[in-house]
Amino acid sequence: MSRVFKLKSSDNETFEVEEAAALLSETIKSSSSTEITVPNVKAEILGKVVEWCNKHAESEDTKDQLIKEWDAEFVSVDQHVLFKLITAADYLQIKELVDQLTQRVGDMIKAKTLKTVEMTYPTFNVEREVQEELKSLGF
Amino acid sequence: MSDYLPQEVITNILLRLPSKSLVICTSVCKSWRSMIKDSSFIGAHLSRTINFNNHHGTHLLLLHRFSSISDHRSSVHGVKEEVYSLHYDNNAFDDCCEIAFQSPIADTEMYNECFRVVGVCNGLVCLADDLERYGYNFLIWNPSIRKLVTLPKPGLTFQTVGGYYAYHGFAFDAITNDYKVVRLVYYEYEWTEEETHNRTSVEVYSLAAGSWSSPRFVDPQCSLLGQRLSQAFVNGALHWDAYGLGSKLHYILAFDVGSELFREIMMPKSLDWDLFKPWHGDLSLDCLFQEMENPLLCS
Repeated sequence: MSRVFKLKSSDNETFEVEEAAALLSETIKSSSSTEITVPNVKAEILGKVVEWCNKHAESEDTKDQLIKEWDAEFVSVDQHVLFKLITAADYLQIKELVDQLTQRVGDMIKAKTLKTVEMTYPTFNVEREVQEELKSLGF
Repeated sequence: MSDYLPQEVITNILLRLPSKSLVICTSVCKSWRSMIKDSSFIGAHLSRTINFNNHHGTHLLLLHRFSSISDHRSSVHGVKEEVYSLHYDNNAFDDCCEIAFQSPIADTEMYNECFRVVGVCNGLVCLADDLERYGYNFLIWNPSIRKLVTLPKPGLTFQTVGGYYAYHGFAFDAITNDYKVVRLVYYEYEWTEEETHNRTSVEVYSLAAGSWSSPRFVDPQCSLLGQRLSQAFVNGALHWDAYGLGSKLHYILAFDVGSELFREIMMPKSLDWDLFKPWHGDLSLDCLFQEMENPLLCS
C-alpha cells in the first residue's frame, strides 16, 4: 500500500501526494515524517509543483514526446512565477524540475542583448562602466 | 533576481549560458559579475561545454583565410583581406559565424602581412607574426569575450642568436590554470665543434606571469621539422616532429607543460623515416598532428 504525503504551503493549504510522486523530492525522501511544511511557498506555486510531480510519477517509463511538450508548456510562465517555482523545487530538491526551470531561465537570458539588459535591470555605477566597455567591444 | 534565488541555482542557470550571454550578464549586477569571473566557475563552464561538444559533435574549427594583392610595378601597397571564421566539424564544414579581429599592432610595426595561428586551446587563439620573415609580435586572443593580450618580445631573436628556425606551441597547464606559449629555436649556424651539440633553445611565455622565461638549451638536443606546421597538444604535452642531433634518430619531441621538461617518443613504425624521404615525412606527420588536435571554441 503506497503512503500518502501531506505538503503544507506557507498560507496553510494542504496537498495530498501519492508516494511515487512525493519521492521525486529528495527533501521528502530524507524526511522522517509524511507531513512536510514548505516555507515561503504559497499554495498557487506548491500546487503547480505537485502537478509536475504527479505527471512525472505516472509517466516514469516513457521519456516520450508528449511529456516533453507538457514540460515545455509547464515552464512557459512569466518570470515571477518561474522564480517562485525554482525556489520551491530547489527547497524540495526535485533535480529534474530544477534543471528544466533553470534551462528555461537560461533560454530567456540567452535572448537578451546588452540593450535589453540595460533597460531591464537597474544597475549601479560599476555596471554602467562595464556596459560601456562591452558596448565598445561590440556586444 | 539575486535576492530571491540561492547562489547554487544562479550558478546552475549561468552555467547553461553561451559565452556571449555570460559576457552580457557581467553587466547585470556585481554579484553576477564576480560569479562569472570566478576561475572555478569558468573551469566548470568550460568542462560543460567540452562535454556537450563531445556528446553532440558540435566542435568548432577555426579557419583563417587571407589574401594580398601586391603589384610590384607600383609603389602602392597590396590590398589585404583577412577573415577568421568558425565552422562545424562535419563533412559539409558548415559555417558557424565569422569572428572580428582587431589587431592591436599597427601595420607599420608588423614584420609580415598578417598574423598566423599557432594554436587554439580552450577557446583561446595564439597568433604569431612570423608568416614569412622573422617576427616577434605574439598575441593571445579570446574571440568569445573579444579581448586580447600582446606578449612582450621574446628573448631568442635574430639580434640575439643570429639566423634560426622557430617552432611554436600553445598549451594549457591544468595544474597551475595557466596558458603557455612555447618557443623553440634551432640555430641555423654551427659554431665550434663542441657547440654543435647545443643548437636548440627554448623559452616559455606564461600568461599568468606575463613574461617569457629565460632561454635554456633543450634536452635532448634535436632539430625540428617543418616550421609553422601545427603541433599537437595532447594529454598535457606539446608534440613536435624532431630529429635527434646526437642519436640521429627521427622521433616525436614531447614537452610536458606542467614540468616544462622534454622527452622523446619513438616514432610509430609506419611513419619511420626509412620509408619516406624527409620532406614527405613532414607531410604525413602533419596529417597525424592535425587529427590529434582538437581545437575547441566556445560559441
